[in-house]
Amino acid sequence: MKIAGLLLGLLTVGVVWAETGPTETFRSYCYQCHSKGPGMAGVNLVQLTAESSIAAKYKQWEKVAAALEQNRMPPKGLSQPSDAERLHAVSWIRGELGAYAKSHEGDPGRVTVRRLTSGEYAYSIQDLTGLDLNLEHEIAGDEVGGEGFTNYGDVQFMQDASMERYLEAAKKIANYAVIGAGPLTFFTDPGKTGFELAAVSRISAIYRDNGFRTVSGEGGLPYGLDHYRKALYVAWQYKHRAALGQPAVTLRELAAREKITTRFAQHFWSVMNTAGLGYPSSEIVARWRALPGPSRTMDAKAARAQCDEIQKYMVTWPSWMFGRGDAAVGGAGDERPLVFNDESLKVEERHHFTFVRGGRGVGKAKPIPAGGTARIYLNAVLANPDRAAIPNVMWRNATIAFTTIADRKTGLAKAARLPLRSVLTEESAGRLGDGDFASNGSIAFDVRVPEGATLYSLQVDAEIGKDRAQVLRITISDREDGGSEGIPVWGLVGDPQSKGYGTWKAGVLQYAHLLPPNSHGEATPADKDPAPEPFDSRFNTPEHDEFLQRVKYVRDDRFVVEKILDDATRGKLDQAWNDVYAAFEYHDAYVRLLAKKLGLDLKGKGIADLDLTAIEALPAEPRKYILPLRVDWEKAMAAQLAARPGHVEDCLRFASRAWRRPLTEGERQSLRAFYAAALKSERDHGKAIRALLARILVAPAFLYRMEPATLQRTTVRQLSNWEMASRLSYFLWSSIPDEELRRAAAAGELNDETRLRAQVKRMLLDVKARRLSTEFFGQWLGFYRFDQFRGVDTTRYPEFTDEVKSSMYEEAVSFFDYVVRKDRPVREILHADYTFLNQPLAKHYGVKKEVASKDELVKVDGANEFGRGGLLRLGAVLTVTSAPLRTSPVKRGDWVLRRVLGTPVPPPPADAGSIPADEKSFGGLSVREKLAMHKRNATCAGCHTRIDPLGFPLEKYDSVGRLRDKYSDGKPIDDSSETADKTQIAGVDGLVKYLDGRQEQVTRTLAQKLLGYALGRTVQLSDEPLIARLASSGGDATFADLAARIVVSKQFRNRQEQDARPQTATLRGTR
Amino acid sequence: MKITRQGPNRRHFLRGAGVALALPWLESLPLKGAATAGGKPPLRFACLYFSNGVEPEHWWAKGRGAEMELGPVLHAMKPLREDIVFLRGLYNQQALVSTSPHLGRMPNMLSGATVSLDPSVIRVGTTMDQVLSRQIGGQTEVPSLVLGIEPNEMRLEDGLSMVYGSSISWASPTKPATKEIYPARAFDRLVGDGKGRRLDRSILDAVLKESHDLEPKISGNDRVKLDEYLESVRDIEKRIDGASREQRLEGWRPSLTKPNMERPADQLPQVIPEHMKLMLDIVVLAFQMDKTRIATLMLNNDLSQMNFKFVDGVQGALHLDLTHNGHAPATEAMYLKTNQFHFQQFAYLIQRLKAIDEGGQSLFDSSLLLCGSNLFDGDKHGADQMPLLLSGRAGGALKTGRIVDYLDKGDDNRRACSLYLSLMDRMGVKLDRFGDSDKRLENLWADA
Repeated sequence: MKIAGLLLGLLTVGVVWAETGPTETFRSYCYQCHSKGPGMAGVNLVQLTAESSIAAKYKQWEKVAAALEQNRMPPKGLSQPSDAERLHAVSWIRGELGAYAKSHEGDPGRVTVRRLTSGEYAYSIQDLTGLDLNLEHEIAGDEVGGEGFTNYGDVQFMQDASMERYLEAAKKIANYAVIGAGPLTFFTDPGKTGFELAAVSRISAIYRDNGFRTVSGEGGLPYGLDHYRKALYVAWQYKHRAALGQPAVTLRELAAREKITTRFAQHFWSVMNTAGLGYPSSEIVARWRALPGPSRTMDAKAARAQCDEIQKYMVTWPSWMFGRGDAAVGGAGDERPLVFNDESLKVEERHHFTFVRGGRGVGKAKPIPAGGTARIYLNAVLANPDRAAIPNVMWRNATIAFTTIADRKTGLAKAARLPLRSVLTEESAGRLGDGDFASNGSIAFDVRVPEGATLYSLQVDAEIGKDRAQVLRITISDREDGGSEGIPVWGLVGDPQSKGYGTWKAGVLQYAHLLPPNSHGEATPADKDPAPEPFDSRFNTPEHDEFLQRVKYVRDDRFVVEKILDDATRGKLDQAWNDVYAAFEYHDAYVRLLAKKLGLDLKGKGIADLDLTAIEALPAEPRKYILPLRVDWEKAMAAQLAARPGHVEDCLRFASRAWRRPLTEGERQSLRAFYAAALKSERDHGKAIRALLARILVAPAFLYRMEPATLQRTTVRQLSNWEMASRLSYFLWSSIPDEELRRAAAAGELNDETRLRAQVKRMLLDVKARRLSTEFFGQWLGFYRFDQFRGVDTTRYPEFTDEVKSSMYEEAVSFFDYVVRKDRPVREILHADYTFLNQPLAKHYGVKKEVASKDELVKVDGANEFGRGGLLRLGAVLTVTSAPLRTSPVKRGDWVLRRVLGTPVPPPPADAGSIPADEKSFGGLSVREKLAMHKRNATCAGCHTRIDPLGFPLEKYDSVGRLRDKYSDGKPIDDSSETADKTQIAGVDGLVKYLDGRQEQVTRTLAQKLLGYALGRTVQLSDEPLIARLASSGGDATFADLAARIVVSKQFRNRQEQDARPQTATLRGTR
Repeated sequence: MKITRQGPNRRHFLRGAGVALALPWLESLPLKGAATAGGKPPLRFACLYFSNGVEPEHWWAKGRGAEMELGPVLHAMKPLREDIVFLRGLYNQQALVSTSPHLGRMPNMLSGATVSLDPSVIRVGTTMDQVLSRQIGGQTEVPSLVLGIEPNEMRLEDGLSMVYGSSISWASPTKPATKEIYPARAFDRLVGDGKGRRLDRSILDAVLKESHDLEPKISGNDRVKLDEYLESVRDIEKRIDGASREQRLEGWRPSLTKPNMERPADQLPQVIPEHMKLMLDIVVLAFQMDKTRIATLMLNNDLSQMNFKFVDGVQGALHLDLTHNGHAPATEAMYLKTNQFHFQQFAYLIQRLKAIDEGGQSLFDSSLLLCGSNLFDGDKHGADQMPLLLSGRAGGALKTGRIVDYLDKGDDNRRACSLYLSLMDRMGVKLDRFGDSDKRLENLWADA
């Protein structure tokens, strides 16, 4: 073995070594420690010189060169080489290394196929489905290798147990697929429930995006109110198009400018140009027509303002009419639904009103002035305005009863009802007279409140007066403005037989048809919404409630469909409704309730059994309701069926995205065949589609980032466009290529350097680039998944809550995300004078400055002033480099050397001593005093004179990242240090300054790690020229610069083929 | 019997997959171990591992049988002293000479292989439990259980992957066996019976075919990875197929057919003692139901920072604070308590196995149990010997209640790999050579 190695060596390093190498120097000064066994610090120069290539262990060679250059070796006290010998040895090593690097520059190197890391898997699924399913903890765990990243192929293992997890995850994801009348999508809830909810949420989204509701009933907020405003303005512009200098403009163009549909604009225009409409449409049209034409004073802004006024009238009219919402005389909080039908527009000649002041809702009410007087308003206005008419009403049988609020439930029924006149003040009695009284319009009066009374109940009948054609809108309240300190009352009084009423009602129905305040009813009716005919539509009746429980959804969207939606959206809405119908036995439930209501015995027949013949045989009334249901049901079933082939095609598109390349014809066929077989065995389209999705997601083409050999016997090949798209997207986004990358790959743009750079730039602006901060920066700098860090003893540090922990993590991620996506120079990684805080974190750090946000982290400038800002002051970093109960200058120093400067020291000797755990138990010695022992011990000193000085400057941060001014035992903190080269470092600021002097080295570390991360391998000697170039840009480079230069490098764009001969024969045998 | 059905297929496949190439000497082995024919319960093997060694002064044993005295680490074993064998002086040369004080000294536990010190090459050696798993694991539904408490640590230690410190079971020299730390998932592996998995089977078939189509285009290291994938798929398929067939073992049947414990909660237990107890219960359950006969459990990872505050009077993390205690008396006492805690777990396992009757004899009688650490002196990363305890009666082959001392028998006679050969023998897998040894440990078995 050894001989073979030497022989090999003779051919390569050995030959050169023997001829030109500093053999004698090594033999005289180094072999003593570095020639036997593994060698001190793992360096055996005899073995090293026998390697087949200087590249094989080039990092060791670099260590040797650096140790010689910096006079660290041989150790003090041993005999030293002359300067000339030293120089010769160094320049030989550097020369050989350089020559190799130059001749092999850009070698793509050995890259083992990479399985998706758990992070990449979760992100890929997120981008494929649009869902964040938290899968990173459900699939096989990661290991770290190469340059310290999980994306290193050799540490990505697969075993049956991990494969089971992938299969489970794939099936779980497939269960989120929505397989209905529309194309395949994914929804946040899985399974059958998810299917139903997905459909309802699609419906709601369409209504919300396209429709409007001025009064939206229980719990709802009005929305879409600008629809009419825009339509008014569009119609105004269209009317005056010539005067506005755009004679050829179409309604379509104007609508598009205002972002309303053409259909809606056309409808509105035609209404505005319809003559002879009834009230209140006539009023709206009149107001629109009265808008002046364009002029200097009627510019666009003025026109819009005037349209707003009309729109306000349109919105407030129904509320006023029916006493709803803000305008309600009825008062806010009235949640009765707004419907226009015989029931809601019913009038009575005489209506009995009861107004209770101090009843329900009394919490907010001021007590009535007991022992004083209370004023009551009876309001009567015309619902069908006729400018000449005065509302005329007769008030009859007025009585009043008093009790206390506390006793309202039982007291009121028992209280004596007094004739109103017996409690009227003298003044009011004088006006109202003795018995029943008439009023022209509204009237008010005062009553005397008995001592101790806090509640009264007024009852009165309002009767239509002399003018039978009037329709009166009556409200009773205790405030002049119609508002109320009690539950107000509202009602319509009129003669149902009168022509006046007939005209009014027709007008209101016409208005509800042409210019409705609500473009649709919500798909999921609220408790107080009505049930459709023939069911009892009143709130809280058993029939109404049963309908809403069993049938659940009501489609009442004629206006939005006919007058607003474009054809494509109509199609989507129908698909969504069809999915609602298919999600459960909608129609069966509906039919069952109809049968019950109408006393019909269907003999257990469901909607599927009720074909046309069966429906024909039904009595007229049930037939009227059941026939349209059957039509809807048939449509829904047909739609489900019709969508099926599309789903298979959707799956193929899904596979192409998941597999990050176009499918081959063979693959398409095999996926289709898989579906067909699954459909045959499962007899269920949904199951078969879900199985197909799962099959796509456990395929090697998804789980592994395949870059297959081309079968050509080349050693290096250029990557294809699709392979480049994958490399780019997994490098910068940890996920699948997006549509733009796919387009670019299909167009063959990804072998063009300029376009590659442009893609990098684009991708780094995308929010997905944040994943670089979690995946790359997190792993490089050691705060990866810090939100799950368990290394803090929370018994000792109870203030280190989960909230603080996750905020610290977010601080680190947000910081790097800012540097990356805002294109900041990489110098800011150390120097930033800003950080990201929320209130809990600011409190934890003891930051006095005001931080606005309670949860989301916000950028805070001038952070150095309070000890934050930049990598070295990140709480997460300071915490992970501490022990559970104390800080560790050694860990922190080692972290700076290793992770920031990229110049790690060898591991400590196995039998190195240790220092006590708890800073409280140092036995009087400070950490510094303890560690001073390092310097006295020669074995330790070599490394610890390099490590410790870089850790001590951070001592003013405790083990959970907070500033402190003394140790917990009260001892003062000295955070100054002296490096091996006698540089004085004072505190964290000093350390930042010290590293600033080594910015090129810091950038080099970043470049090396970034390259390793991008390629999924360790860096090798042939990468040296690229890394040197990247490093030479120092702190001024931006992350995007470095990333782009890596992306266009040879090693990123090429692949080394290995052992290209296939070994199919043996593997075939396994089938 | 299943084994005859599986054997050739499996080996054939392995050869193709290139996995068996690492273990060519396994090819000709007779597949023994199905020692159920005579109606006797089969042997079960379990290994409990704890990291970071012990304080040597606290690790000792004197005397034998009921008179045996034990050092403080073994406090929990006192009532069980007649059930254990105290092994003194075993070591592994490869671990001893490795320059990596932690990761390089992991494989003395169960393989005796050398850890690759090249950061770009992940390689160590197949461990004895996984050799068993591969050879006799096919006799049960689950070939072996590989359990742990702590997740794999995602960082490098001195440039080397922490995979070495997070795994004591390696399925091949380049692949650790997947370690399960979620009790619920481990439990599910035991109860999932493969029935009703028709669709899974067809999904796996499809991807297997796809992978075969890929083969010609895959080369080098990529092939190793694709083979891992293929093997995983095949293993699941076999389990599905096996489970849907009627299980018929002649002569002997497990004493339990349905779990007698509740399914653990989905989440990772937050309290470590509860976590360990659950994992041990799962090992016992698996043995009792004869779902597997091979189990390993890492109580902690190497370099573990497990916070032992759950043990009364202990504060701080295992590795940095307690193991490297600077010999401060207070912390050293805490370190001892962590060791004692580890052996309480072992004692719990023994007691549970002893309490289970398998037709006139206990499950413990048919067990072979190993508990130990890869390091001896934890503070100094000592690997000159290993603290190991053996227990179980191995079907009568292991005479317990004694000390077997190899320390002064010469290095060649105190190899840990000899122990592994001996243990594998008992489990029915006889190898000529394993790791750095080609001979059995002397003076171990009653019948030898």
